[in-house]
Amino acid sequence: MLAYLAKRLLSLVPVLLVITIATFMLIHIMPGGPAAAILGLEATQSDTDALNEAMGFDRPIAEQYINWIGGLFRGDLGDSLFLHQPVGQAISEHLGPTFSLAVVAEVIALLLAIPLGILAAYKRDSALDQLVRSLSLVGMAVPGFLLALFLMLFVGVRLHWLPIAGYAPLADGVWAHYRYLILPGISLGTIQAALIMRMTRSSMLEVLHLNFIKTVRSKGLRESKVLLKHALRNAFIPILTVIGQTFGTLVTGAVIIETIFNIPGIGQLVINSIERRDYTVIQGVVLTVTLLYVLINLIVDLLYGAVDPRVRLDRK
Amino acid sequence: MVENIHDQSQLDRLGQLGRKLRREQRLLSCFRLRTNYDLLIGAAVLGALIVLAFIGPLLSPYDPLEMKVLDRLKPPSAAHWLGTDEFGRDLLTRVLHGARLSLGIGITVTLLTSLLGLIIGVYAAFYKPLDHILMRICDGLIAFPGILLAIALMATLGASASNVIIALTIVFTPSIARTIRSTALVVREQPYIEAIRAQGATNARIIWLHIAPNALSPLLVQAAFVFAEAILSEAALSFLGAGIPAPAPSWGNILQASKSVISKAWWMVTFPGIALVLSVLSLNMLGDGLRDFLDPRSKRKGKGSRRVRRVAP
Amino acid sequence: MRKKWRSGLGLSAAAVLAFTVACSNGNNNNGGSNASGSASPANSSTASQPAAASYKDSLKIAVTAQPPTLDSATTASALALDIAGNIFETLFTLNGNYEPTPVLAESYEKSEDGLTYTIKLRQGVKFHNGKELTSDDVVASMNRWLATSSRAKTLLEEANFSASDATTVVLKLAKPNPDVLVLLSAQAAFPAIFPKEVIEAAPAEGITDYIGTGPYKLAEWKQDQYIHLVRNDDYASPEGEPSGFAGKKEAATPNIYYYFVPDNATRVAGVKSGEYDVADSIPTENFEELSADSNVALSSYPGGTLTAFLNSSEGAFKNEKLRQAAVAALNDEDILLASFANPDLYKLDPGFMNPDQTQWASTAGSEYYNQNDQEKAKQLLKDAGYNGEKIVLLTTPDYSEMYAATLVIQEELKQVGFNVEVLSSDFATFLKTKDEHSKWNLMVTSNGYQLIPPQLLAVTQSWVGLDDAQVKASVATISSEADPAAAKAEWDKLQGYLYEQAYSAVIGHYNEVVATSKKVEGFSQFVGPVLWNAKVAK
Repeated sequence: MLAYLAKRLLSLVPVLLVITIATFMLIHIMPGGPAAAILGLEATQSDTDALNEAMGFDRPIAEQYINWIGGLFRGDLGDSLFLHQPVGQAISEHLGPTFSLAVVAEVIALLLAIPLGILAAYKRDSALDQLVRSLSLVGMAVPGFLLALFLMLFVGVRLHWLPIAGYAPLADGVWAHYRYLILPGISLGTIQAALIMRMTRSSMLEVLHLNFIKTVRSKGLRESKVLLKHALRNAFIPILTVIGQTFGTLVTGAVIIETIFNIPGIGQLVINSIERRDYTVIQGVVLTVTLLYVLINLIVDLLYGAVDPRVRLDRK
Repeated sequence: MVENIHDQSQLDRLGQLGRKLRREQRLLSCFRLRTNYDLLIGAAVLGALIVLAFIGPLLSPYDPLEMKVLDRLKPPSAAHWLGTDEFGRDLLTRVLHGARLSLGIGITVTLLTSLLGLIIGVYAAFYKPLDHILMRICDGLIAFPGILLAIALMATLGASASNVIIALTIVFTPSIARTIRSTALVVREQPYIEAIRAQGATNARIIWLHIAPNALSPLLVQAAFVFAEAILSEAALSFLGAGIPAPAPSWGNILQASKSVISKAWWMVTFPGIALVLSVLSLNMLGDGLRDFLDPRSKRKGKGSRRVRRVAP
Repeated sequence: MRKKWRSGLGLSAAAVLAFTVACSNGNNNNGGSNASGSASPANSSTASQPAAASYKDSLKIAVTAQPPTLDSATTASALALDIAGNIFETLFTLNGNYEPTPVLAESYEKSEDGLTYTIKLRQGVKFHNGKELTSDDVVASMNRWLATSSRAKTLLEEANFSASDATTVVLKLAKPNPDVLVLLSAQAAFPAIFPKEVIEAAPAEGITDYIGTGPYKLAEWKQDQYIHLVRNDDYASPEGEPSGFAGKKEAATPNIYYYFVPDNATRVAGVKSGEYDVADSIPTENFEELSADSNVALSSYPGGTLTAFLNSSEGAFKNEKLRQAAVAALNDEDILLASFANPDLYKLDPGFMNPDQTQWASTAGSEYYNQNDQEKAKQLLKDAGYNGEKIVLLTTPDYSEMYAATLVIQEELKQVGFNVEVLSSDFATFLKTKDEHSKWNLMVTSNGYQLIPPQLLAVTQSWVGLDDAQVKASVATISSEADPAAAKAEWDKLQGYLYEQAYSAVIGHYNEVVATSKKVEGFSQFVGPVLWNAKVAK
C-alpha cells in the first residue's frame, strides 16, 4: 500500500515537470505583457517597457523558470503582478467558491442520477428506462454553458426565482450562499448526472443478474432493501469511479460556468489572469489545479480499497 | 482437426457448415446493425445535418455577413424564419453557415487527432524509450485541464479558425494516443507478430501492416467522440471569445452574442443551441453504436467506452 | 465585459446637465441637498447623526472590473480613479462647471510672467495615519506625479515643485501654460497627495500603501471581489456647496463597498433586486428593461466619442485616397446603433470635442462626416488604383462597443470593394498590436472627452503614428495661443484638416449610463460617480 502510494506520487514528478515547462513557455510567448494590463490603453511603449523591466520580465526565460522552481521548493509561488498579494493566498481565496460549486453540482448530480439509474435498471426496458436512457444521452450532449444560458433565460429572466449570477460566501448565511450556486450547480452537474446515471444503470443491471440477488430475494427481503442494501453496494465501485473522475473535472473545469455566473472561483481567477497576463498566477493555478486533479483521482483509487477489500491496488 | 477428415463428403459437409456459419454471421451482424438504434439514428441525424450544412446555405436568400442594422433583434417571422441577430443578420442563414464551420472544424480536428494519435500510439507501443518520453508528455497534457490548455493556446496563437484546430488537436491527441497505445501493446504481444518478425519483416512493416489495422476499430469509436467533443470545445472557446473571430457565424459566436441580449432575444440562444445539441447528440449515439457494433462484448459492460476527455463540462 | 479608461482630462462644461431618464427626486447632481454650509467637520458629522437611524450604514456600488491599482498617478483606469478619489485628494479639483477649485490648496498666486505659482495649503488636514499634511508631502507627491504620469510628462515639461515654508509650495514652469491649473485638477492620472514617507518608499510598480487625506479610508481590498472603504472620522472637508468633485464632502454613509462585477447581467439584476445601490456602466442593451423598472433610476451622461483612427504611417492607408474612400463609405448611424443599441444613448456629431463645450465644439469637416456615399468611395478606390490589398481592422472583444463598431465597418468597407479582415484579440494583445503599425490599418476606440484639443489622441503622434507637419504646427499654435477666439479658429482648421486627410473620423458621441436604486439620495454623477454625499434610505 505505502509502496503503491510512493510509486503513484513519484510518477507525478514528470507530469508536473511537463506541465510547468509547457505553461511557462506558453505564457511567455503570449503576445502582450502584464504592464499593458496595469497601465491601460494610452500608456506609451516606453512606460510599458520600463514596467516590464522593473518586474523582471526582460530576463531570459530559463532563468525565470529556474527562479520560479527554486521558489516552489521553499513553498513560495511568487507574488501576483496584479492582485498585490502572494499567489498562494490568491489561489486559496478562490478555491473556496470553486469547491462549493463542485460540491453542489455533484450533490445535484447524485440526487438525480442514482435513484433514476437504479429505477431504470430495476424496470429494465420499461418506459421509465427508455426515458432515463434518453435523458442521459441528451444530458451528455448539452454543454454546461448552453444549459446555463437556458436556465438564465427561463429561471432568471422570466421567472425571477433565483439570482442569475453572483456569489455570497458561506459567512453570509447558508441560504444566501447556496441560492447563488443552484443554477450554476445544475449547469455543471447535468453532464455528471448523465454519466453517473448511465453507469449506475449498467452497473446495477450486471449485479441484478447475479445469483446472490436471487438468494436474497428468496429470503423474502423487501425489494427496496434488496436494491439499496445488496445490489447498490455491490454495484458501487464503477459508480464511484465515475464520481471520482467527474468530481476531478468539476473542480478543474468549472471555468466557463464560473465566468457566466460570475463566481469568484479558480476558473475565473485563471481567465482573468490570462487576460491580465498575470504570469505568476497562471503558473500557480495550473500547477495547483493539476495537482488537485491528480490527487482527487488518487483518493478515488484509494477509496476502492475501502469500499471493496477485493481490490488490491498494488497489483494494478 | 484436418487429420480427422478422411473423405470428400466429410469435407463437403464441413464446407457447407462453414458457409452456413458465415451466412449466419452475416445475418447476425445485419441483425446487430438493424437493432443498433444508436448507430442508425446517430448516423441518420448526423447525415441530415451534414446535408443541411452543404445545401442549406445555397438555398438561403441572405448573406450570413450582410448587416441590416435597422432590422436588429427581430423575432422569427416569414422573412426571417429564425429571426435576426444583433446586427440584423438572418439567424437561419448564420446557423446553417455555422453548421459548415462547426462540422468542418470537428471533422478536421478528428482527422488530425486520429492520424497523430495513431502514429504516436503505435510507435510508443513499439519502442520502449520513445514510449517513456511520449507517454509522460501525454500524461502531462491530459492532467492539464483541457479548457485551460485550449484557452492558453488560443491566447498564444491568436484567434483564428486554423488556430482553433491546432489547439484542439493538441488537446485531444494525447487521449487518442493512449487508447491506440494500449490496443497496440496487446497486439504486439500476440504470437503471430513474433512469427512475422521471425520471418524478417521490418519494424515499419509490422507496425503499419499488422499492428495499426488492429487499432482501427477502437480508433473509429473514439473518433466519433472526438468529433463531438471538438464541436463542443469550439463552441465553448468561441463562447468565451477565444475561438473563431467574428464575424464568422460559428455557433459559439452566435451564442456568445446571445448572452448580452438574452432578455430580449430568446431565439438567439435557442436555435444555435438546438443545432449544437443535435450534432453532439448524434455523434455520441454514433460513437456508442459503433462501439456496440465493432466490439459487442463491451456492450454489457458499458464502461471504458469513452476515453476522450471533456474539455468544457 | 466592458472596461473604461479615462482618457481625457475630464468632461466639459455643459456635460453636467446629464439627463435623468426615470424621474427620481433629485438623486442626480443634487448632492448638496443635505449639506448646508455648516462650519467644521465635527459639526457636519454630528449634523448627520440624527438621520443615521433611517439610513443604511453601507452603500454598495457594482463596477465593471477590479482596478489595477489605486495609485492614481500611474493609471488611466477610470475605475481606479473613481475609487481612489474617495481616499486621496489633490491640490485642486474640478467643480461642476469644470473650473479648477482648491481642495488641499487654500489659495494661489500666479507670477507676472506666468512661470511661478505660489500655492498656500489648507491647514489642519490630516492623513489617515494621523500625520498632519505639510508642504514636504505635497512637494514629494507632486514631483513624483510630474515624473511618472505620462500626461504630466508631456504637458508640463521641466516643471518642478518646491517648498517655501511648511504650508506653502511653489510650482516653477519652463514656459507659460494657460491651462496649468486645469492640468493639476484633471481627473485622469490625478496627482494624489501622499505622505512623503510613502512616496519615498514607493516601489517601481506603484504605491500600495494607500494613505491619503480623503473622506474615506481603505479598509479592505478583497481581491477580485470588492473594495471596502470606511469613513475617515478625522476628515477635514473643504468648504462650499458640493459641485462636481469640489465643495463639502460629508462621508454621509459610514461604509462604501465597490463590488467588482464584470458580468453585465449580474450588475443589472443586482441593481433591480436591490442588492446593489448603484450599478456602473449599464450595457445599452439593458437600457429599456431598466427604465421600465420602478425601483431604479437611470442617469445617462455624455461619455465621449467613438472614433475611427486610420493608420497613415504604414500600409495601404498611407495612401490618402484610400483613407478618404474608407471614410466616405461609413454609415455612422448604423455603426452607432449596432454599438449602443438605443438611439437615446448616442448622438451624431462630427466634433472631436464635447459638442456642449462652447469653447471647442466644432462642426468643421462635417462634409466628410457620416457620408455613407458608396459611389464616391468606389470612385476614390478606382482613382487610387486599389489592387485588393488586404485592409486589417484591429479590435478587441473586451470593449463591446468598439468590437461591434468594427464589425459593421468591416461590412461597410466590403460593400464598396475593400478586401477587409478583422484582427481581434484579447485586450493585452490588442495593446501590443496597436503599436506594431505594420499589422493593421484601421481601429475604432471609444475615448472619454478631453478638456483641450492638444490632448486629443487624434493629434497625438504616439497613438497611431500620425506624423504630419501641419497637424503639429496647429497643435503648437493652439497650446500657446492666449486669445480663445484665435485658438478656436485654429482648432476649426485642424479638425477640418483631420477629416479632409481622413487621418481619423469621429463616428459619434455616446452616453454612459448609471443605474441607482431610488432609495439612494445625494448621489451625483460627474466625471465618475460621486459617493461621499450619498445616503441609502432603509
